[in-house]
Amino acid sequence: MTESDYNECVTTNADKVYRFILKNLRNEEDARDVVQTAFERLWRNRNEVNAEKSKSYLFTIAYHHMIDHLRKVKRIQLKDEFHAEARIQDRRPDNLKKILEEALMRLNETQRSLVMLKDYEGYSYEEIGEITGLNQSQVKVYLHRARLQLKNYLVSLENVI
Amino acid sequence: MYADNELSAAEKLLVASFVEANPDLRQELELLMQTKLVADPNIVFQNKDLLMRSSLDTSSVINQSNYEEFFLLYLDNELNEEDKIAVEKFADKHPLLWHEMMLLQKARVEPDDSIVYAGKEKLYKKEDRKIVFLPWQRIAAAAVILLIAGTIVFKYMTQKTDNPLATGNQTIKADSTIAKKDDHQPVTSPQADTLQNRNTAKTQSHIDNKMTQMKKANPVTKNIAVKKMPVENETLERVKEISPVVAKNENIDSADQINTVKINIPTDAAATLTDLEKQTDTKQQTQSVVKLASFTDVPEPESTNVLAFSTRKNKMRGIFRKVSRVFEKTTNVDGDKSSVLIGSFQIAVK
Repeated sequence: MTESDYNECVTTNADKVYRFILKNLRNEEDARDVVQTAFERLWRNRNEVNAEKSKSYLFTIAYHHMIDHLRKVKRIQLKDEFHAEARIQDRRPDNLKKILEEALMRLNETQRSLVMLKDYEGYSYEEIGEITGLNQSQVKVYLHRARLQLKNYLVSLENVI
Repeated sequence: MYADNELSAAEKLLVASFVEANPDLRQELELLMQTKLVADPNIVFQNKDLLMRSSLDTSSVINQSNYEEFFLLYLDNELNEEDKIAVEKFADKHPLLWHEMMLLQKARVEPDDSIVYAGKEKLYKKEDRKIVFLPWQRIAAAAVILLIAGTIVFKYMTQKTDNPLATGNQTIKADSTIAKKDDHQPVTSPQADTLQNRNTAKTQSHIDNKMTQMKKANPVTKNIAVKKMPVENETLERVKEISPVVAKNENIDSADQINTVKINIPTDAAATLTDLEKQTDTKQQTQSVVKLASFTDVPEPESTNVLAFSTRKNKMRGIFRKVSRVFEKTTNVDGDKSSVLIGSFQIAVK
């Protein structure tokens, strides 16, 4: 992996990794630290990484670093803090989107990561397994459970409304 | 093992007889037998019909029991084309289940493109430029260096050979011009006057007499390359100068040859020269004259570095001579005395 390949990876994937980590950690500064650490390790190991595999390598590093961070801090993010620090701006009020965000927060960290890797980045079960260190069957089962939970949450709200 | 029913009939009889013999152990056996569990018949599996298979379902992979998993795989794009078609057909047959699929499709999150990482410029890196020579460049550089070194050495060697040759050519030319006047004139004192250094008058006259004798003898030509001569010893130089003058004969083609100088010295002259050696003072003179006189008959003593080099050069001259002969044959060049033959080129002499 050359210098130009690395810089191109920064341009292409920095936002994606940041978005993924931020949704999990729900803290902007922590998310930036994780992203910087991931790119630093990619730069140090650039000779062993192919340009085509750089994105998955980046997500792998970021995911494991995020898990380590979560285990170390064991922080419970409040909705208010999340909205204030991350400065996420929705384009328009979307109930479904908000409900889904809420439902996503109700999942555990593993399920949440699997859902985002699948929906945000479009990785296959196998690729998600390589990133998270799970086997393909585990990814399939955890993801299915997460989806059913999200669906049930939507259905329950619809029933309430 | 008795309680777990793991004993054979004979072993069970043994246990029973042992218990009868020891009544105090009977109670313990009964307690062990009471620890065995019994299945609760009230616990049953509900909805066994979901496990049932019908002839209609056996033809397709998706069915009532596993449709949800197939729906999720379908939404995750993890099915092959055949299974996708099967799921779509199943959903068409079961509209209620199709509604469930729509719900599952809603439970998919989309990325928020408004979230961006600020300060990407801090993530960019720049490598330290190192000038690394590729292997072929190193080889080319080494080849160029070797070529330059070889050229310098070659030029140095040729210059070294040219200097003695120049000195020898000057003396030989001087002698040849004198020889042109009269081939049969003996070496007289005027000729000796043209030489650089002189010995005593007695030695000179003795040498003159010897040379006269050499003239009368039948010459057996020997071509000796006189390009390189030791310049250091004065007497040796004088002897060399005398030998071409005295030993001249009709076989000398041209006095104007530049490339090679053909000096014909008869064998008698060679013998005379060896006599002359004995009259000289230093051993070095003796060795070099012997070397000059004969290359084959007289065994060579230890030669100096210059004479050893002259031997190698003589071999080179021999090669050049052969090449020039080949050219002469092919080009039918006549070696007449009115022209000078330099290599393969013939230059007319006025």
